[in-house]
Amino acid sequence: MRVHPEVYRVLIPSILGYVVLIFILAALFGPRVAAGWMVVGSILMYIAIAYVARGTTAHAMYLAERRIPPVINGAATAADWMSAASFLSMAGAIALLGYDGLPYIIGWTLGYTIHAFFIAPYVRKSNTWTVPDLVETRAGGYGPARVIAVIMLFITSLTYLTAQLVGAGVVFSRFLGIPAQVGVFGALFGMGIYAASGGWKSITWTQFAQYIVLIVAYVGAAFLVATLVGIWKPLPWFGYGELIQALQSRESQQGLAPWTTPFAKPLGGAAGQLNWILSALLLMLGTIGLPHILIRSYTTPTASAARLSVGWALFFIGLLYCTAPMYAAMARYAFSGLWGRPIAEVQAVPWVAKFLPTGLIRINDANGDGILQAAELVFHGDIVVIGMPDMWNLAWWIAPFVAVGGLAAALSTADGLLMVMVTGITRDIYHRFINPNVSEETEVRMTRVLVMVLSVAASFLAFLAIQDPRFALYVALLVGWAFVFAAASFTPAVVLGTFWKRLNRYGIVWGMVAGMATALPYVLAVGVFQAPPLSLFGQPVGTIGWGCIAFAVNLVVSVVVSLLTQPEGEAVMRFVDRMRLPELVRVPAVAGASQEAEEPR
Amino acid sequence: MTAVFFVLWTVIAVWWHIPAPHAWRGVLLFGNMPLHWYLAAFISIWAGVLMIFVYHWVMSRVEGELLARALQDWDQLPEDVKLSLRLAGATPSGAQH
Repeated sequence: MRVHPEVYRVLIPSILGYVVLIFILAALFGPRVAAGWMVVGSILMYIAIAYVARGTTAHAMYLAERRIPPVINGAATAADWMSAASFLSMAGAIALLGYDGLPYIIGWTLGYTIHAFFIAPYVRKSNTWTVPDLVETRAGGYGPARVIAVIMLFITSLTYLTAQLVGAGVVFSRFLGIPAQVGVFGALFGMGIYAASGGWKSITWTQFAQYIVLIVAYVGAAFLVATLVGIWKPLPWFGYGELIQALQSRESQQGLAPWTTPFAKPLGGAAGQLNWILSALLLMLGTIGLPHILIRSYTTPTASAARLSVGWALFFIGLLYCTAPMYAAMARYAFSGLWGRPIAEVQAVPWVAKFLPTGLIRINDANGDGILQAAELVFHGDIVVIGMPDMWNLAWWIAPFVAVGGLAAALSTADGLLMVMVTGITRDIYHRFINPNVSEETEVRMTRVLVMVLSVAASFLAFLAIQDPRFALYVALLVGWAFVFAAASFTPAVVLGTFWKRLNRYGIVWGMVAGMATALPYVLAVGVFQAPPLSLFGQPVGTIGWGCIAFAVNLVVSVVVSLLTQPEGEAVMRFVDRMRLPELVRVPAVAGASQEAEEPR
Repeated sequence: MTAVFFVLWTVIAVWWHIPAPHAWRGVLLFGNMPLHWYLAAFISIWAGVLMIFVYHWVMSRVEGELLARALQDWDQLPEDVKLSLRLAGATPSGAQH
């Protein structure tokens, strides 16, 4: 495996120096100052890594020179993937929804398995530079296909980016004591600088470091609590069954349905088995169509490495995702320990007293008996991870370290999204349509400037989101719907484009338009305007599950329109053949074709 | 090969979750862990990881066999494929990179 000596020379001393500095600061100035520097210091560390790994060519900016080894690319993909929502909110959703929250777990992981089968090696063998580039090349050089792909890319990515910055702002405000609106611009500072320094090359190595930080923070804190609860049997992932049984026993005493009861609570506006299955499937289909994940297949040396990299990515993601249900069980168990106690006594519990003013916990003595019933205690999902160190009285540095992990998750995803959008402007629009003769130096400079411009724009949107809770609600909803839009637009185009030669430019364009036209109105009607969900086979289908219908509509329209119009010519047939040819040697597929495809388009 | 793996994937992604409310619900394992919960919260994820690595291993073997066959039938290969193989150091007399 090829290592990057400069990065390792910086990475290890940076992490060690960071840890030593925090403990010195804690000894000299106390935990509060040290906690603040833990957050700020982590960003400085990422900037240092990005600077050392910076790229100066278009090949480095857009493709990380196609030299990232599979394990590193897998870890970077995992960091790219696991956003603030995965880190902070997913365990909370499971704590609140029980079994009905588990589509997030299988939906956001098993998409990678079909990504390895159907997408990653073929995207890599296409030797294109970006996802819109792939769409246009498959559409026989039909420019409108690229433009529509760029529009879809922006719809999917911009709101997602805004939400990441909101998450980063919240982390800043909690640990630096500054308003979240100001914290958003702190995140902008870090993210913009290291994305601008070297594009995907810098981002990849920074994401690798961010993955290490976020996984140690997440799994480390969970393991410490698991020790206190006593569920190492032999590992916590296998040992929390007793905890679930104890929790469900407390729930039955309170007259609640057991936490693991299937199909009891609504997900995406509807409950039921069909909605559960469709939601999970849609999240899988959306995963493989998200541009900032697709693009990670371009940064490996070969198609084989791209396929292997997906395996490592899911391995690294799986470590966090199989820990999230454990977090949910431990948090719910901690909350259930408060039931049946006098409310005054509960309010005096240190961690409850800490989070009551934040609104993450709400207590309402509805029946006025002074005793806390299960229904009188409401908690926000985010407290499950953020509050875990306080719930179990862990050492002072665990809570800020978990926050540093959350910040790493938010920034790593934000970087990927930012770079995908900038590439959409510079490479897919400017270079392709406006100035095909632009020099490499100018294009790189333009990319750096645009990274900063888009960072400011996204930060401003995040600033608005925090100012106006209604806007924040819509942003959060739109992040979930990003998967619906990705599955309704990119996924069928990429899969059919590889496996069905008869697909043509009109099929690609009209399929994407029809998929989006099916998804968007339903999402707006049911998700925003609270219209009742439609039923299939007598069962309601929520906004997320509806994405499967939009995906199917895209497929059908793509096939029908392609069959009714002229097939593509010889060049597209050769392109598809090249994507499908087995990789006989560990170099890009066919030398002549590869060199041709590597030329700037 | 890919179709076979895809069918296996549908089992871990869809089929074995369908009996959850009925058949699996009362089944406990690993110290009282409900099976229907554990299938979705743990087993599916790692089955998915395992499936990718096995698929990669199988496909790499297939590619190795194809390369061996290509080197055997060197004279019948198209010129651009020969060029690609030569560039990578894979010729009838040379070793693969």
